[in-house]
Amino acid sequence: MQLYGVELLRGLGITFSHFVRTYVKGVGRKFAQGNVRQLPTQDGIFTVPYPEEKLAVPERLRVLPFLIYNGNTGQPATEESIRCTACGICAKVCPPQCIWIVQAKDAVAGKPKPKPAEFTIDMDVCMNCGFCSEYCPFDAIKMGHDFELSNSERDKSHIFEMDRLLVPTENYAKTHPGAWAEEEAKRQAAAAKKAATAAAAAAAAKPAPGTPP
Amino acid sequence: MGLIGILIGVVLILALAPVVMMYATWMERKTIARMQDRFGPTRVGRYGLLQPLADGVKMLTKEDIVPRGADRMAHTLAPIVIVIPALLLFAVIPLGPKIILADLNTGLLFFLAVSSVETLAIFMAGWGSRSKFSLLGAIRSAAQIIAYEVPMVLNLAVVVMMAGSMSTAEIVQAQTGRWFLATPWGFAGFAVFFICALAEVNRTPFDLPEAESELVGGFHTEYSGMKFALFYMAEYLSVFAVSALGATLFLGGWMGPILPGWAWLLIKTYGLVFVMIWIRGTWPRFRIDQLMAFAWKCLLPVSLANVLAAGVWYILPAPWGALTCTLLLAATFLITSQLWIPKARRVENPAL
Repeated sequence: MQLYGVELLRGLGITFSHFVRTYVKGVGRKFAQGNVRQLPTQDGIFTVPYPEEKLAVPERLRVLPFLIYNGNTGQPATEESIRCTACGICAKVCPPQCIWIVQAKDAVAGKPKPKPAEFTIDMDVCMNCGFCSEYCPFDAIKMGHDFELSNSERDKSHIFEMDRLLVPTENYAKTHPGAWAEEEAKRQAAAAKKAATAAAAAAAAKPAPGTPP
Repeated sequence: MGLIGILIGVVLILALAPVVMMYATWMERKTIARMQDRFGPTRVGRYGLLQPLADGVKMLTKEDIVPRGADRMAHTLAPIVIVIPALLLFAVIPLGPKIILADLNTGLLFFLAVSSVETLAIFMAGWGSRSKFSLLGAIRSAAQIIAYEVPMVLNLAVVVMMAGSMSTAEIVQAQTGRWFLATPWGFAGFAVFFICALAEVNRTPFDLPEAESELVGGFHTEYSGMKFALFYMAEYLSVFAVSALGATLFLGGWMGPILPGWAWLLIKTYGLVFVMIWIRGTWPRFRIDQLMAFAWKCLLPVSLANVLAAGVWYILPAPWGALTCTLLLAATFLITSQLWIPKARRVENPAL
């Protein structure tokens, strides 16, 4: 028979040191400091008591899509500021077909406008794949982080209309800093290129009136 | 002590025992959680202090299921039978120089006899449930308790030898000036006693009767609701009682400076309960053959040697007595545990 005596005592030492460390290391940490993900090297208590204390979610977390409009926090969305053009690409690529778009019409002439009048996402149908935001050519639809969606009523609150989907760019820049920076850089590059081609075209076109045919 | 005094004592024990048990579960959950870098219960009340009450309500409102084909009589009686001895044990624990419910002159014997009754209840539960898991758990429990009772009693015999009395109150009195723990035979006796106590109350690493990973729940597999809660109550009360007995016999009982006697006894008892929880948070379970081998091949010889060593310590003059005693105990332990043989040279018995 073997007793492994020393190792047993060592084990007791290890558990006791963990016991003590959860009190010593946990003193300053009422709730997770700075909303940082816990590392495997961390000492003390690992547990995050969820509703009171939340871990930071990764930026590219995909839950429900939301619509972006140009503006600051608190600024209401206007028809011009909404980036969506009601092109319907997102609704076409959506695998479970959870997006419903109605194009806006000119109030006077009745002609279709490149803006959505209705934009509806059914939360129960959405499978959080993110195709809509991948395919959107206008960076108008993005995947949100809000995962606390469950409730006890399913007929109204699970259908997201435009008023609940619209998010100003300032908020988006805060919650998705990396993606925002990337998109801004691309947009500026595109704008610069456009300006350059426009300038080149203008330069090419300029002498035209002066020169005789 | 008059009839009224006894009544007050009985009422106190009956009223406090469930509270002690409930908070022992809280303490266990909290301590184990901390050892595993968790918080433990935090939801009900501050620091989860009301969690035991919530558990109690849950247990009371759960459905009471009796398996088909069960021996109803034994099945129903077992949880009751197991709690009564656990409560009776507190009668002979002295809380102070005069505060003891029943100062029996055979107090220690009473404790051992009554605590052994729990095996009967466990066997009733195992038999009455008509379930292979329950029966296996109960059989294991019987074997285990018989095996560990022997070294435990031998070590308590040493205490009785030295104190010259079986009365728990007098054993505490005999430790005036020096706890029994501070002597070589007392130290060895306490170590063996504590190990046997763990086995006696089915705690890790000897929790084979309720080994979750092999026997589902052991003898209480087929119990639910309040009956299940009673088994838990008996387990925690026994843990508490055995710790109190250890504190009384080896750690000077209620004796200590400044604080009143009952406070000292509580501190020492909770210290031992903590060690039990600590061990549960650390050590894995024994295999059944290791368990038996450990009791009969290691603890029993050490206990026998301890009886001899205590006698030697008593007869020989101070330094020589202590030295001989220590040497004898150390030699017995090393030989029986075979810790000193390197693993490569050790011949394992293939039958085991």
